[in-house]
Amino acid sequence: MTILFLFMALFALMFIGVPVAVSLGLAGSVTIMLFSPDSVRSLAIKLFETSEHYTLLAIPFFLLAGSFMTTGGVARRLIDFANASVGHIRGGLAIGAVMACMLFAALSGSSPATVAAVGSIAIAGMVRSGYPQPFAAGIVTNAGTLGILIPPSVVMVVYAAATETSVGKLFMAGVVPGVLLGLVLMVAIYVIAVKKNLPALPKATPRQWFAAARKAAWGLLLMVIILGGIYSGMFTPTEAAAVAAVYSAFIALFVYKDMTFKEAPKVVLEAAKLSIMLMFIIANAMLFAHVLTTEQIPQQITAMVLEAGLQPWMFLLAVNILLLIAGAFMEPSAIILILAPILFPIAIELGVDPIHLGIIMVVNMEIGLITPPVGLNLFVTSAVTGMSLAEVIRAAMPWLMLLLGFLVLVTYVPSISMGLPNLLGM
Amino acid sequence: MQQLRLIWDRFEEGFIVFLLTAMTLVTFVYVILNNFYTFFYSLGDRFEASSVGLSEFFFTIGDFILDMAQDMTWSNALTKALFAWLLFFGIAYGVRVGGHIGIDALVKLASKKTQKYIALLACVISLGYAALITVASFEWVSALFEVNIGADDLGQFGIKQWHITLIVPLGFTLVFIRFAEILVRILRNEQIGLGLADEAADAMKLSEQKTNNKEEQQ
Repeated sequence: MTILFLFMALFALMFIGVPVAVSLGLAGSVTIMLFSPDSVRSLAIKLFETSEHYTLLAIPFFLLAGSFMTTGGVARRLIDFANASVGHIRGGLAIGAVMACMLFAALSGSSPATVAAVGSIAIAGMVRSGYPQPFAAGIVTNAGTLGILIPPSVVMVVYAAATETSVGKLFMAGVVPGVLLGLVLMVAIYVIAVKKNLPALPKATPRQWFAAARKAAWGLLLMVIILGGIYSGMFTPTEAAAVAAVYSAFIALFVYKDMTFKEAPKVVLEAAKLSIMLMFIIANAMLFAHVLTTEQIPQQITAMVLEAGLQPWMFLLAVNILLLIAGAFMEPSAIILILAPILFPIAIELGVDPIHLGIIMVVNMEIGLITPPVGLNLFVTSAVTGMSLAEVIRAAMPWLMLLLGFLVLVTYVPSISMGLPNLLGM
Repeated sequence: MQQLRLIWDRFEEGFIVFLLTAMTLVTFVYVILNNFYTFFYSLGDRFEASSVGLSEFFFTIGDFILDMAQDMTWSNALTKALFAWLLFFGIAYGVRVGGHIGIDALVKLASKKTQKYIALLACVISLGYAALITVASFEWVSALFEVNIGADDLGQFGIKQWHITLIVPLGFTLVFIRFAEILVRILRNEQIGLGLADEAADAMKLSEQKTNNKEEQQ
């Protein structure tokens, strides 16, 4: 009864256009006031606790780093480097765009940011060279989702905070699936490019390649700092994020000099706004999840699932379907915070590794970012290209099938995600 | 009045920028100090055989940095406090600039007139939420005010718990005011929806800035 009320209230509020964060918080608060002996005061305490969560502190830092890199010209140099590396292959600009998305994803933790940073330059470039616009837009919309799979990743930080797993281990687990998905996209593009006879760039001379690599090196070095720092134990992920933020501000202002000091506050404000928006959703989703826990919903569902004698593969299938539906309607961080506490205990009982479950959830969230009605990447691509939302959806659809196939692979071959962290002995 | 609002808006933005910058720098400095002393210790080790003076020199620097890092136990607590202020102070800013995402796909299907009524309802609901949290957090903060306990790791500087948590009722009061402004604008037909965000437009702003820069360069 309580739970029915909780979810009904959430959906009713969301669909009349109340902001997602307010819907989550209000549905949770009203349920607590009506059905639970907790005082109203506990609502405020619950909201405030979010800001004391050390792991979540990484989010504003990573977003700040991302803002500086988008504005500071890192994206453009990564694209040049990618084109110098793979541009001579048939369909080279498109393959280069995927590679640029992968590289940018390894520096930034957000998918919409990746689409915006790479898409605003790469799509126009492809169209100029004679690629059909829907093809170019579809590729970047999809490859941009790698932003949350290739570490660092804001969504992984949220999952780690919700389930108290290790952020570092999750980051490492995302590397192989992320690179694999990038390669799958590249191969698919190559096949299409050969069939449709899409153009290739002239091969870059070694000298040109080195020049491009040298210019991009400052950005690429950040990857080493983040992953190396976390892996070697020099930094916690939160500290690595703070270092990344200061470092990217430094290269934007002093090395690339693509932006002036005057612009810096604007970039910080933009990152702050994104952080506030995301953290406001996270704080309220935590309040909402708190209601679920006090009502013992995770325990009840776990008992039900075990009683039904569900096999792990059936459970994982159910998880994927649930997450795909949820992903189409909700913001990724909120989904993770609400569903992870429910799915986590079941996974443990069934012997599914929590890190593996995390990667499955992240890949689902990637797909959620390109499925309407609430697919942030679709909106970003539409804004970047000036195509209508319907056109972008149609352009992204064929590639979505590829992502779904990849989801099945990641779900049922755990070693793809678990291989690297196990190898590193994490 | 208009002037005052403008000053407040600028202050709001400036303060948000200050909070995020401060928390980033505090964490950054702490990390650097925390990793640098090992660097100087290893330098000291390396020169131990060849030059005692040089080795002593590096050890002294290492000790100095280690002391600084150890003195900075407050950095974590300070970062969290700044984070809390950023979050709860910033929510109202998010409301002002339409930064909070929501789903308006369904609402947009309705006629203009119905849209207005739905927006009014959504706005009143949001006002109710802001009021609820303001009252709830005010109760909490006044309880903390009465016990007057020092904040973890920051108590030595005379910072009490209620100093930090005070931002929750303050912030949500601001949120209430911002939603009230929106309510007035909807009633006056100056605005149709809550001005929910378009993340897309935001992302664009960043890359637009970038393209502008590029053009300026060329």
